[in-house]
Amino acid sequence: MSFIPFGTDDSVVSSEAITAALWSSNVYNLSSSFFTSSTQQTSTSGKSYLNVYNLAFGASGSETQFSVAYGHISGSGSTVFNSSVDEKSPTRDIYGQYRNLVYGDEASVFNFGGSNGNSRDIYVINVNRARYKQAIAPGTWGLKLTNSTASIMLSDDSNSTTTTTFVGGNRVYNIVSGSLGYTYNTSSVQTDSGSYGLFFPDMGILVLNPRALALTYNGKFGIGLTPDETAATSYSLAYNTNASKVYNAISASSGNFFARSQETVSSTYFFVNAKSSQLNYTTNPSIIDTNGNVLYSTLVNDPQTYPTTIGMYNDAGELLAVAKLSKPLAKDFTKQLTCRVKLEF
Amino acid sequence: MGYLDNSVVTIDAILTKKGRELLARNDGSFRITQFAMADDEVDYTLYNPNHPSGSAFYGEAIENMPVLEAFPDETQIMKYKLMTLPRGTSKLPVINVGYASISLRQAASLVITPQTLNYLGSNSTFEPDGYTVTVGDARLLSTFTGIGIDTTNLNISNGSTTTNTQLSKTVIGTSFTLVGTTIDTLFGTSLTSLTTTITVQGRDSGARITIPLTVTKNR
Repeated sequence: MSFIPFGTDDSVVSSEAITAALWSSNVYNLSSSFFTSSTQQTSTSGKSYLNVYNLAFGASGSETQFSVAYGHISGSGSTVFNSSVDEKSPTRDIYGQYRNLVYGDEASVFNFGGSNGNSRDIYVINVNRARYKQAIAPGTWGLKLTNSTASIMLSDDSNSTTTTTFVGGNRVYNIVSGSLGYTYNTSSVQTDSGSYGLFFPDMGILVLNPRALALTYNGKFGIGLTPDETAATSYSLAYNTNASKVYNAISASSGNFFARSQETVSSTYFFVNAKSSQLNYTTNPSIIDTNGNVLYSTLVNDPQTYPTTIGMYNDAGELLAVAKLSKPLAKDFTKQLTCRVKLEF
Repeated sequence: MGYLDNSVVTIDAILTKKGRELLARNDGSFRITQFAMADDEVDYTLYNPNHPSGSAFYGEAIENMPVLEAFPDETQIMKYKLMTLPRGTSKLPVINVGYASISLRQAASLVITPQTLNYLGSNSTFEPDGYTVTVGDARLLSTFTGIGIDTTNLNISNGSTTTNTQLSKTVIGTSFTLVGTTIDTLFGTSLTSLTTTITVQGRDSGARITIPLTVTKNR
């Protein structure tokens, strides 16, 4: 017999949380490596969002890292789709899209906390799904925004709060002036216009508050990044000017955007055990002559095999998974062979 | 007094192409129930019973051999399985199909009935649990069936074939019917024959043989 059945206790399922650097090629900090594509920028999608790449577009290894978008509740800041229909523009699409995702209610307005936290517009940083896998790990990211001489380092407040807040079923943290999940002061709502934004780790989305970023530093704690809210019906913005403003703030010299991804990997561990009396002979043709005789007489009464591979089969004998040992292990009538095989899904 | 190494060796497994296919089917056929071990890359002529340092070093050359990574092609790995036989066995089981290679024309059929030599004290015998036969590329056969073994509880469709995809197909039985494909387009515009492999393995002995299978275009 070649096959040895697994017993009921010979396998166990385990789930492990795995974190990794967020960006392509396992890069943790996308420092000064921000590129856009004029092709994408001037295409139809460029009116709604701006893709940001790790390398020059078209270069080997260049991949979309995240997208930047601007949304306005009334469609301001972009050209309407049809000049005879008011307010139906890409920025209106963006605002409605994320409002639906977050609140699930078409009447809601993004609220960033405090007494003056309602916002009619939003900046959105949407990390590519392949980058964040299942979530952006809270407390691991930092984003530096620079406008002229003013700059601010943003993070979430996950390490400064004791409870997790949900909005519309989505886990959410405030975006604060801080680092690695800690705020630089006691409050998560740090400006008169509310927090700097909302962070949705499970959707890979950062919603930034334009009202807070538009404030100057002294009055108070913004970077003076003012969106262009020209009415959609009377202004013809060729492409997404406000998304470009955020992109410029991110990619300014000494720009930093670092984070880690998070995913839960389920694995099945199989405990493989060949007892001393099992698997001491081989069907390897190099051990026999053409008549099936064992080549060495010492191997007749003291057979020895050197397994290198473990195959996992179903009842039908179909090979479903395979694992290799790091070196051939000697197996004979005086040895048991036990190892743990990990199969990830 | 030293410490014993009690660490557990963990090795990572990869899914084979067949494993991915069955996982994608989502019909319960992906269910690992048994394991086997193999020594595909081991050359036993490196075993040296005359080693000057003694019996502990007979397998020195084999134990120091680097091991290759796993292949995901289930027809190219786990070729030489280890088996459990009574101590003192001097002749190892060998599969005999009756052909060194198989050649079929389109729509032509052939029945093969494997036997095992040097097994259960007999020069030639049919194994009680039958044989598994795997064709490397199931598209080359319009019919590929095994009979003689009750496969009701094995969750295997013993008669169907997978079409349009270059995947293996395994059936179980004591007697197997092979019919060459009737699909001309498989040959393209220039090919006159297609080749794959047939692997026969004893379900009791673990002995195995692989022979080439060629299907020749009729016109």
